[in-house]
Amino acid sequence: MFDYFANPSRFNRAVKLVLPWLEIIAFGFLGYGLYLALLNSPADYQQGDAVRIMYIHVPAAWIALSSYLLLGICAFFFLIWRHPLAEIAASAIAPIGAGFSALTLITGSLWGKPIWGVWWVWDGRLTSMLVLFFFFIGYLALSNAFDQSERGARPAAILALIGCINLPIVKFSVDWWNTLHQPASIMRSGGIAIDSSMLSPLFTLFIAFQLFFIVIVLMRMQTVLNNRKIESHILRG
Amino acid sequence: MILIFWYYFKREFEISISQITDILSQLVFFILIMMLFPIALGPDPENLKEFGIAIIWIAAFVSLTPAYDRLFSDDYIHGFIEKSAHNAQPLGCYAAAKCFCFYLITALPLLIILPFICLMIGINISFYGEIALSLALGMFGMTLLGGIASSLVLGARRAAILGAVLILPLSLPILIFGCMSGLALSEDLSMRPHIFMLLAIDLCLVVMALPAMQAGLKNAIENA
Amino acid sequence: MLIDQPIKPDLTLANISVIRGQKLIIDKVCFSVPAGGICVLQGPNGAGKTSLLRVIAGFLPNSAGVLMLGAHLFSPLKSTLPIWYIGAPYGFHPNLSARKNLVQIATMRGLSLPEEDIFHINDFTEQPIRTLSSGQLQRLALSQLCLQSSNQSPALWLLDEPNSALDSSHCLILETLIEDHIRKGGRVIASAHQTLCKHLSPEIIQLEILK
Repeated sequence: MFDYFANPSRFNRAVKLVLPWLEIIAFGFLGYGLYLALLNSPADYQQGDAVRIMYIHVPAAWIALSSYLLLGICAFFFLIWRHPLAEIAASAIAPIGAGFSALTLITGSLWGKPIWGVWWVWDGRLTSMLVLFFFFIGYLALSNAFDQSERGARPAAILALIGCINLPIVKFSVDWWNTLHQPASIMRSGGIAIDSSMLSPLFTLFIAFQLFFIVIVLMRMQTVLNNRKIESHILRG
Repeated sequence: MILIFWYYFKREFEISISQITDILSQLVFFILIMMLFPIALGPDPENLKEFGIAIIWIAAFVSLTPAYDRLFSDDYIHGFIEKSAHNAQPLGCYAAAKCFCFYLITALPLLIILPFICLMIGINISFYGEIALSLALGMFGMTLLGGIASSLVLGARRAAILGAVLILPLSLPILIFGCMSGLALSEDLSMRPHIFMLLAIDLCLVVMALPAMQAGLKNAIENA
Repeated sequence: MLIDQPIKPDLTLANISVIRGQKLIIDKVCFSVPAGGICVLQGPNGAGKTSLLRVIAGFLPNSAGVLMLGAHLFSPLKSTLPIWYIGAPYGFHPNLSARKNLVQIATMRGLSLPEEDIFHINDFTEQPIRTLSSGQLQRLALSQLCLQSSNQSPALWLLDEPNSALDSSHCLILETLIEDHIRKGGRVIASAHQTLCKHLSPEIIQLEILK
C-alpha cells in the first residue's frame, strides 16, 4: 500500500472515492456526539454545565498531540524514502494540528475561568500544550520561509523529526518544573474520575474529531496535488 | 577526522579573532538585557536575589538566540560550505567544529564576567563554580540547538527571528533544569540531579544535532 | 589476467536532466570526459552551464540520468577522485588575508603551497579578501589549482567561467595550466563565454535555454 500510493493520481482517485463517505460518517458522529454532549449527558455536580466544554477540549487535545506524532512520522518517511505523498501529508497536517492545539488552549481557558476563576494557569499540561502549539508554529514558519515554496519542505521535515524526539523531553521537564514549583492550590492532584454517562459522548466526539481530522487532511492533500497539477500545466504551456 | 576538526576549528578561531568586536558586542548585549531586570522589577535586593539565577539564564538565552543565525550564514553566502563538502570529510565535522568554536567564544567571556554579574544582583559569590558549571552545560546544549536551527534556516527570509522561534520552544528543558539547579543551590539542596539532567540533554542533543546539521547544510547547498 | 576496469576510466554523463522549481533547466545532457580530456560548456545566460557543473560537483541533485566513472556510479562527494570546483562565490572569508585562506584550503586537503607564484598573487597576498578586485579574486581562486599534492591522482577540475575577469596575460597562463593538467591525465570541464583553450580542440557542449 505504501508503494501503491506513491503515484499521486492513484491516490487522488482513491481519495475521491472515499472522501464523500468519510464526510458523511464524520458529520454523523459529530452531530450525534454533540447531541450526547450538550443535551443527553448530566451536568457535573460541581462544575455544572461548564463541564460540557470538556467534550470539545479533551478530544481536541488528543488530536493535537497525535497529529504532531503523525507529522513526525510523515517527515520520517519523506526524509528516508522521499515518499512524495509524505511531504504533502506533513504540510497538510501541520496547520490543522496547530488549529487543534489552539482550540485546546482556547477551550481550556474558557473552561478554566468558571472552574478555577482565572483564564490561565501555568499548569504542566497547559504549558506543554502551549509548547506544542509553538512547535506547530515553528514548523509552519519554517516551511513557508523560503521564496521557492518547495524549498522549505526538507528543513521543516528535519525540524518536525527533532521536535518529535524532543516532545517527551519537554513534556517531562515541564511536568517536573511544575511539581517542583508549588502547584497552584486550585488544581486538583491525581486523575479525574469520569462517570460512564460522560464517557460515551466523549468517545463519540473523539471518533468524530478523528474522522473530521482525516477528512480535512485528505481534502488539503487533494488540493495541494491539484494545485501542483495546474502549475505544471501552466509551466508546460 | 580529528585533524580536520582541528583545522576547521583553527579557521573558525582565526575568523572570530578578526571580528573581536562581535564577541564584545555580544557580551554587552547580555549585560544590557540583565540590566533591564532591576529596572523593570525594582531595585529591591531581596527580589533580585530571589530571581537572580533566572535573570542570568534569561539574559543568556535572549542575548544568544539572535546570534545563532550567523553561525552558518556567513560561510553559506561566501560559498565555503559547499567547497568544504569536497574535502572528503563529512559536513558534520565542519558543523561540529563551528559549533564548538562558537560555544567557546560566547560561553567563555560570559563565564569570565559572571562573578561581577553575581555581585551586581546579589547572588552569593561562593556559588560561582556551581552556577558557572550549569551555565556552561546549558549553553553547550543551546549552541547545538542553535546550530540545528541555523542550518535549517539558511536561505530563508528573516532568518534571525525564525531561528529564535525554532530554538526557544526546544530549549525549554535546558532552561528548566538550569534554573532549577539554581533554585536547589539557594535552598541548600544538592544540584547534582539537575546537572546530570543537563548533561543528559546535552548528550541527546549531540546525537541529534550532528546528523540534523549535516542534513540541513546539505539541503542548503543543493538549493544554493 | 583480465582487467575489466580501465585504469583511467571516462567520466560519463548519461541523460542528465535537472528540474528546479518545477522548471526543466537541463534536458538529457550526455557527454563523457576521458582522463586527459577537456570539455567546454557553452550557451547563453540561463542555459544551465553553472547548474550542470554543480551537478557534476555533487552540489545539485540531478532529477534524472546518471554520472558514471568508468563502469561505476560516480557520487562526487564520496569519490576518491579529487574535485576542484572553482566558481563564484569562491568560499574565501572576506576578513582573512588571501594567504591565510589559501593555506587553510591547502591544509584541509593535505596539499602544500606551490613555490612558483603562477597567477602573481604575491602582490596582494596579505590583503584581506574584501579589498580584492574581481580579477584578483579569480586569480586567487585559480591558484587553488596550483596547490601541490604528493600522491593524489590527477583531479577533476570544474571551472565556472574561469577567465571571465582575467586579463589577457593571465588568460594565457590559465590555458597553459589547463594544458599541463590534461597532459598529466587530469580531466577538465569548464564553462566559458569567451573561447577557452581553442588550441586543445576541446569537446564543445552547446546548451540551450529550454522553453
